[in-house]
Amino acid sequence: MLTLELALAGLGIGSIAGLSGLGLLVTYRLTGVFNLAFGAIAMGVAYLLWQEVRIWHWPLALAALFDLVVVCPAFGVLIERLVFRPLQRRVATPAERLVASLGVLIVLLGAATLTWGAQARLDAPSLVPYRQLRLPGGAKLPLGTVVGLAVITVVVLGLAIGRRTSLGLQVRAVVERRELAQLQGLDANRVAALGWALGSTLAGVAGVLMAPTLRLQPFGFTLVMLETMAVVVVARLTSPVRAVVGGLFVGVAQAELTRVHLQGHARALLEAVTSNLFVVALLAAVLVVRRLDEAGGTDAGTTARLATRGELPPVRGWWMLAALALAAPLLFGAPDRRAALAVPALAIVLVSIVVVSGYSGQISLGQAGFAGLGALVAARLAAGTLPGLPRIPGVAVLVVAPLLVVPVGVLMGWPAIRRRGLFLAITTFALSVAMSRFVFEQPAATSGVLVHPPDAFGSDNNFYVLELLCLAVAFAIVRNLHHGRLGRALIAVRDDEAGALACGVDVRRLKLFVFAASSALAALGGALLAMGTRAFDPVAFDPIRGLIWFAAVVVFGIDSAPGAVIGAGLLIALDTSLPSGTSTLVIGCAALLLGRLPGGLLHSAHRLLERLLRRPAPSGPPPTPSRAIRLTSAGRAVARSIHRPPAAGGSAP
Amino acid sequence: MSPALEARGVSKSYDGVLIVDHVDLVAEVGRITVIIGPNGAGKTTLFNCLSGVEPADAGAVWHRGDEVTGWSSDALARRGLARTFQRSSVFPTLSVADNLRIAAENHRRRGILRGLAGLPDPGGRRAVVVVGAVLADLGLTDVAEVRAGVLPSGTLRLVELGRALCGEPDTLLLDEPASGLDDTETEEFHQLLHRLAARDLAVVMVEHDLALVHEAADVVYVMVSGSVAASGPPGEVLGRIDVRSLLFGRTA
Repeated sequence: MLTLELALAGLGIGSIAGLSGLGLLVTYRLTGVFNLAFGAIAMGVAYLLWQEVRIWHWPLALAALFDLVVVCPAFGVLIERLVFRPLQRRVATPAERLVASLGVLIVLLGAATLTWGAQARLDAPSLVPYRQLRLPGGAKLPLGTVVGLAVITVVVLGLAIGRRTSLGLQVRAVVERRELAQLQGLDANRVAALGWALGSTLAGVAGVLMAPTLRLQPFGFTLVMLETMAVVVVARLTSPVRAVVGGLFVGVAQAELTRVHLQGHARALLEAVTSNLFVVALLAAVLVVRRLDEAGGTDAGTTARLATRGELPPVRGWWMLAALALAAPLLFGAPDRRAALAVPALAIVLVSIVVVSGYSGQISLGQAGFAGLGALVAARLAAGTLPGLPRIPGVAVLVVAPLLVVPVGVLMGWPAIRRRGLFLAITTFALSVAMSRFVFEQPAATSGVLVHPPDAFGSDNNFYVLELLCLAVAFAIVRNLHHGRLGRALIAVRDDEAGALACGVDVRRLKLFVFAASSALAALGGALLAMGTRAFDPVAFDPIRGLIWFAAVVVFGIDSAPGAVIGAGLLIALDTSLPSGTSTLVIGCAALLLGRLPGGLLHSAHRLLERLLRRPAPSGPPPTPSRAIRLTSAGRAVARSIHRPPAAGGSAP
Repeated sequence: MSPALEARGVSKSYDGVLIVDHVDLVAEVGRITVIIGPNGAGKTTLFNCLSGVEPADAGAVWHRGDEVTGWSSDALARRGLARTFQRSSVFPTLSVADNLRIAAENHRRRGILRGLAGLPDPGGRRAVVVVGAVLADLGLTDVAEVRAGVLPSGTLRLVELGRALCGEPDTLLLDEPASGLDDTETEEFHQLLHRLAARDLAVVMVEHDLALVHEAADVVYVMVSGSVAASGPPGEVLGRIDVRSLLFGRTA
């Protein structure tokens, strides 16, 4: 039975989702960037409004006006100018732009955590006073919903009318074929700036409207906003109307589901589905929608431009330094050693990202899901509480748990086979969000789970050594994947998929295999991570954390396993020594700088070092023109007019 | 003996527009079969349907007597049906030798797990021998270690052909293999084609250069707006004035 009252109540959340979807869509259509940062922008603006109203005691109307009319558009224009325009200028790949938007997201998350802390705040100011409007027929509609729907109507109408104006035509020309439009004298940068300003403003409006209904908390709020990307997938990245209808539909469905009452396990499941209906919608959308209408088309070799481009030349004795650095925690004091336990574990998780994204070019934003699953399965195996399986003693858990996660990895890799670039990124992220919401946060799955290191490795020192052994295995797997026949086949797939198929490379099997190997590694790392802290904490495997991990890997060189270890060390070191949020901010800033440091930090540092150390090349005899050249009289005249440069290698003045 | 490749009634349309319309085609071992036709006649789409790059809407394809309709392109490649692309599809970050080696290594499907465990590839040695032979055959030995991305387009055509040969195919589909070659290269390529056909290979190619078609082809198919307008020995087919006008508009 559907009731009108519940439907009207659901329109509130639905209209907010529609708004944030519209913002995402507008930015994407006008700039070609899928702006993952929109969730964090909504979060940041909601926090800003809270700060202004609750701490500084500004009048609500003034603060809201300032935030939405000045701050949001200005922020949009700013990131266009500083981050995305340089990328646009050097024709960056969609993957590079996605990482840049990830950088913005992570910077905002870090800044918010540093400023406002990780604790939740419940007193976000409500922009619209809580008043019910009485509709004819007796039904009531909250004023907030009316405002949301009104904004949506204005935006959709504005877009529809805007399309028909001459400005709209110019915008479409720029979006369609940027280079050609620029040749016609259209200012593509202004269109992009418009897209970013509009997109951030809509994200801000959605955030401000959403805040009173939610707890204000950096990670949690951002994730909820990100979940509304379901409506954009439903709209196949094109139709604003479809996005809005999708948002409203899910909102109403959510409200209606609260009327259904079940008993027992079904009840818990239904409650989880109801409260996470946008996640269900996102999951259903990425699985059902066949193709996204991606701007500029999907391209193979998506992550190729992020790679270090060739092996780093070996620095003599690097392995001795590395071994020393990794062994150092054995000499640390107890608290520091305890913190260092997370380094090899996290390194293995990051290496799993190198495996899946570094060589085969598949963007996976969902490794946090596999890591969490590995931790949970390992803990339950060791306790003998995994249904249908006996208790697994000792170290064997670290072998069995990753193997049990492999089928899940294959299952999730399945939709990924035919997907590339943006669609694949969204799919993997959706899967990780679903795992977090429906497994890690469910008491049925996690309550009473005790996590211990295997018996013989109870002391921190012994456990650390065990972790190093696991890391060595991970390195061996990466090495074997990147060398020989497998490595060549993976590069072939990344370089040109059609060509690889024509060579007889079974691309589907190879991709699935890589997905499986990577999920097993992530599970191993996750299990060690949980054992190190002796607890299963859903927050440690938050999907947003997965995004930060991905960015960290890209920053340190997406195809560099040593880079992953250094990244893990840096993340843990910053987290233990500085206020929480610092490491996030650092990784975010570095991701934004990637446009200027192709190949990642490690590669750039190496190149710099090489340039500083390299002795100037000995200058040989100046190149003499070949005698075979016969000059005509005109040629001789030209030759006479060219002055010989004084030194070799110089250019003519 | 059954033909190397046989297609019957192959059709393909995009958005309701018929691009390939009930095409029948037979390619015999040891023969060079050439498809000619104006731009947009559906030649490349036909190739894509034959090589499994995209599924045909209707019709059936046989390879050495076995029906392979609907097979994926990598499975067909492992079966011995190799192809090249009109737009170069070499792997730019790999050396020429590695480009060829990928085809030599993957024409049999061997355990990925062996590779993950770091065990040597049982067919690896043979692959290296095959690559060396093909490099020498095509005159690519000098550039074997050069990154493919920096080579001129004429050489890339040869690299792509070499890659197709390294899968030890019995049927070769070449999509405009001579485009981008200069006169000497075209002449050399022509010699090469005959050597290949003499090795019991069935060669099917799309070609625009009528002189080359005259000299090289054993059988010619003329495609016009998706269907085969004429087929037969080149002398007879190309001698007809109507074929020339179909290809090049009104003759002067």
